[in-house]
Amino acid sequence: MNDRERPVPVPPVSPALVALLAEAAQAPPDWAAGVTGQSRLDGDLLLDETELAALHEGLRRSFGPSVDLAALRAGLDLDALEALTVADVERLLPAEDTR
Amino acid sequence: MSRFLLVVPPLTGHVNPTVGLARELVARGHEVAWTGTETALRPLLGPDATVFGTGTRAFRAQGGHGLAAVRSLWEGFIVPYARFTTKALDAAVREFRPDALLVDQHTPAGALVAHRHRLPWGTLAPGAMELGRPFRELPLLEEWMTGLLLGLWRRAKLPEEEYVDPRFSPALVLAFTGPALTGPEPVPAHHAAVGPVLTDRPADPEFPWERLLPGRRRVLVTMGTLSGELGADFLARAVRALELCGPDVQPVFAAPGELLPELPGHAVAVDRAPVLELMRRGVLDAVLCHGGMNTVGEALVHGLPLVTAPIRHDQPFVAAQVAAAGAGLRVPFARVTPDHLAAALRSVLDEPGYRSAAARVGAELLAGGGAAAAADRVEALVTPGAPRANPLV
Repeated sequence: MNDRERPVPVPPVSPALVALLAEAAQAPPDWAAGVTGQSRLDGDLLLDETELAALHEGLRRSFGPSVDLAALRAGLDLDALEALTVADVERLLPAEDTR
Repeated sequence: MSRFLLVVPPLTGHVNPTVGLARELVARGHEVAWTGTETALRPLLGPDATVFGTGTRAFRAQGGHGLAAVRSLWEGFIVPYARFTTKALDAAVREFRPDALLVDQHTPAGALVAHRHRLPWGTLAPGAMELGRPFRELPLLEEWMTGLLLGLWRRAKLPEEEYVDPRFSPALVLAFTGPALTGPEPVPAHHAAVGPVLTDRPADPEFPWERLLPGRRRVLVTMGTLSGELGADFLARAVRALELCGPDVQPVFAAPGELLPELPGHAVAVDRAPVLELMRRGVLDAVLCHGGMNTVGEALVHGLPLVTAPIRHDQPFVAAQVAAAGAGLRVPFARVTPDHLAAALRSVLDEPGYRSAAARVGAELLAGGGAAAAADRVEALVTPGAPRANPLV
């Protein structure tokens, strides 16, 4: 296998973020195992607007008001909202909290 | 006597509340007609209703979840349906010569035609979707919707400087909910939240009343128009959850038989249940539903607590309102496990706070005045004896 064929390792998602996602989603325990950075909040994780509002509140509670998912989403059009991933949310977190 | 034309989409949840409103208007001596897809409206309205058909064409099924459902609703239904029906609506107005139109928020063509003929029009907001502007935190999404509506306005060759959002009549926005759910924030004077307008729905004539066992607590499971694998999967989890609730809980499923798994012997299942009659007879103890406004309103005015598993559109918002009011619990449709769902059901059955909150919220919703209050507001759209702005209609 050369470098081109070697799969790119997918970095794990911050456990703190996964826990907040699971809480907002009222998800069963095994749900978190399927969450990756590429998971779309809307199309893959099936989070609705009220669950996204709960996630926003959870992020602010855990990381402070500068982690503002609502502000991020407010600047997106429909295509970008549909494409929004866990990795995009993770980029909002302070660097020391992402791992 | 006035003539009112109701412009509605071919969607059961949108048509049903208009039936009770129309009955009240007719009882007051007015004339009422509907316009829309006759093949969908006729079974809901009965043989005697006056219906101006707008033709039949298959539109994208209401499906999906979240933003995909929003896109599908607008691009697959609201816009193409408006384009398809505008001419027929215009013809219906010329033929029926209404004094005012009542236009569902999902059928903006009605507002365009009313504007063209300078006829008074009111908005029907049967769900909570547009009413509370649930996407006000997403301005680019709202802009996208406005762009689609403006496109319809231009296509109808209406003057751009006169643009009015066809979802919100400046004269009347009639909503079948109330502040007990939507919250205490003040609303404009022309918004009338009248609470549920109760209307019996078409039901299976042979409902097996004799199978409702004495001494059991009963949960009605009614999830709107469920289909496909997703629907079958949820119903399978619901069946298991109700088994876990124990033998003292008897489920009554209103769902397509082909989506249901094998049921325990004490479960009752029909395609279409006589929902209001079940509630009126006091044989239910809780309702598991999708958070559709009509079912929620009906349950609450009968003092029934709810477990909601919202799927799309306004359902998550209605479900959140029910939970905030203490009248029920919300579970995630796609993810809830049988254990979690059983625990939620047992909570609303066992903890009296949910039932008392449901009764309180239901009483407050009823205080909105229902069909009578709605008819008062609709009558006020028309000034008796006023000349018609367009004498041709």
